[in-house]
Amino acid sequence: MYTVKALIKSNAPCERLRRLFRQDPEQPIPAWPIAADADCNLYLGSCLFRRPRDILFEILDHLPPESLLCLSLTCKVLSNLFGEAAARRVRTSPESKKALLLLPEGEVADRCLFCHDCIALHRINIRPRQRWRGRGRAHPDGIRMAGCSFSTLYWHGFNFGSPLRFNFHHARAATNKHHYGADAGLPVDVFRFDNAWSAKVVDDGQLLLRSVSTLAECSLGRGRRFRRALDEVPVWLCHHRYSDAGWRWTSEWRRVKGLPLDAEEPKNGGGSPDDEPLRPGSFGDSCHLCLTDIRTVVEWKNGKAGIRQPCWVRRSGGR
Amino acid sequence: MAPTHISVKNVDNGRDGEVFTITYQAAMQSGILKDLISDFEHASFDEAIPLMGNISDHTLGRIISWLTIHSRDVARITEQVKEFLENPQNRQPPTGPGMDDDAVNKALSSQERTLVAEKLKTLTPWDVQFFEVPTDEVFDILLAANYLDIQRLVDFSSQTVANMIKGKTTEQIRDLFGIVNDFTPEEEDELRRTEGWALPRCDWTPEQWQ
Repeated sequence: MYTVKALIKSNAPCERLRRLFRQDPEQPIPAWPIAADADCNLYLGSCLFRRPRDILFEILDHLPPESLLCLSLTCKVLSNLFGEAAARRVRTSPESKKALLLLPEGEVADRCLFCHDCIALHRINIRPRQRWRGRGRAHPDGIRMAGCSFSTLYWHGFNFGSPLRFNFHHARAATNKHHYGADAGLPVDVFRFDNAWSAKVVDDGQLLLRSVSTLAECSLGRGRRFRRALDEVPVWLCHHRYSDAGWRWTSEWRRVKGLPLDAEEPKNGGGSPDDEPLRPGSFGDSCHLCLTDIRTVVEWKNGKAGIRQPCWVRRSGGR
Repeated sequence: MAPTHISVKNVDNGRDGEVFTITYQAAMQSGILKDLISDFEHASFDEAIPLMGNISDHTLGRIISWLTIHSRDVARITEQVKEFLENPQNRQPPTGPGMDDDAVNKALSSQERTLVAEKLKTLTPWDVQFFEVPTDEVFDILLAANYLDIQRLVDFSSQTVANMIKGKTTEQIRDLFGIVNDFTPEEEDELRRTEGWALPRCDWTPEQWQ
């Protein structure tokens, strides 16, 4: 009884492997590492190879194609055993291919993201927009994938109803940052708004309120995107004044942008000064209705190799 | 007459291991023990049955505990399923007044078999805790269960190992099982060329982003 059973069991793997992967019965089954073989020391450190091959096939029964392929790519023995068959399985199943590509996304999330439309890993490609198109139509430089239909789909209305919008790839990169850690993906808040309030009673009994709004650009680039955000996102400075599209032509903003104060406003929205460097500095202003003092501070913090240059603007209002 | 209890022991290189006793019902889950008992129907089984499968005492003890816990699973689950199917709303397809008794019984027994089989394949919280051991030990249990022909335990333990592999990349699987990467850089390049879709080149540096 034992002998027959053992015999059946010893013959089972080959048949089982063929049945599992529908292999050609004439094709020889690759060898399993044996302790006597000098080359096997490399493999016998693994708990997988110290057991009979039959055990492996029990496990393979429970694995989806993408995991089969990943397992087969770990070493030559497994690759020879079922690598090709596993690859064929994945190749013929879009769902498996998708599951397979999602596996390494976490490891390469700092430079790649998975696209559900193309079922491929795209390299993150940040392309600054060549032309400024005017308020309402412009958006921050999104991540564009050439030839991918998902590039044309957008999510609207983040940052409290601002005209900014971002595409699906950008959203994916942002969620990757959430899933895979700070080093991966991109921040969703390309323009981050922080607001801190403080209050105190001054000597003459007046309550002094102080609000510091910090607008920070967290993304790559040379500040063009940041300037566009300042142009297009209405930021309330007090109840009477806010920075809108027209604000960019105020004397204060011209100084920030490095434009001569006597420069004329260009017609038809052309002549964007986007390529002008943003100059660091501090500029004061006040609202003549509520007497709110406003101060704008522009700071540059140089990042690596001149690519990352977050720019900080802080506005503080009083009284 | 079938024995009420059976003893088993591990025999390794002529040395007898610890003797474990289990109920007849629990032993029937093992194909090898079942065949032995049926072949030696009139034997008294006073002495422990020697097992030559190179199973350690620790592993054999764990398997005996698993067999004991799951000895009444089939009866218990069948009872639960029958109770579940007593409600006509749970029946698929629903049995109606227009159907004759034979058709109703056939449909019910078929659904009952399916449900029992499904439930028997499901890992219980006790099983999950049972397999919360080092990977090497899970492999030992799998190997011993395979030798003893306990198909359900083989399925459970291989499912546990498969769950460890699922969702892991090639590099993570190498770390898990201590597999040495024996591909040369040229072979890896060749793999990338032939299976480019599976191994995307992701060696861009941040400087290339712009």
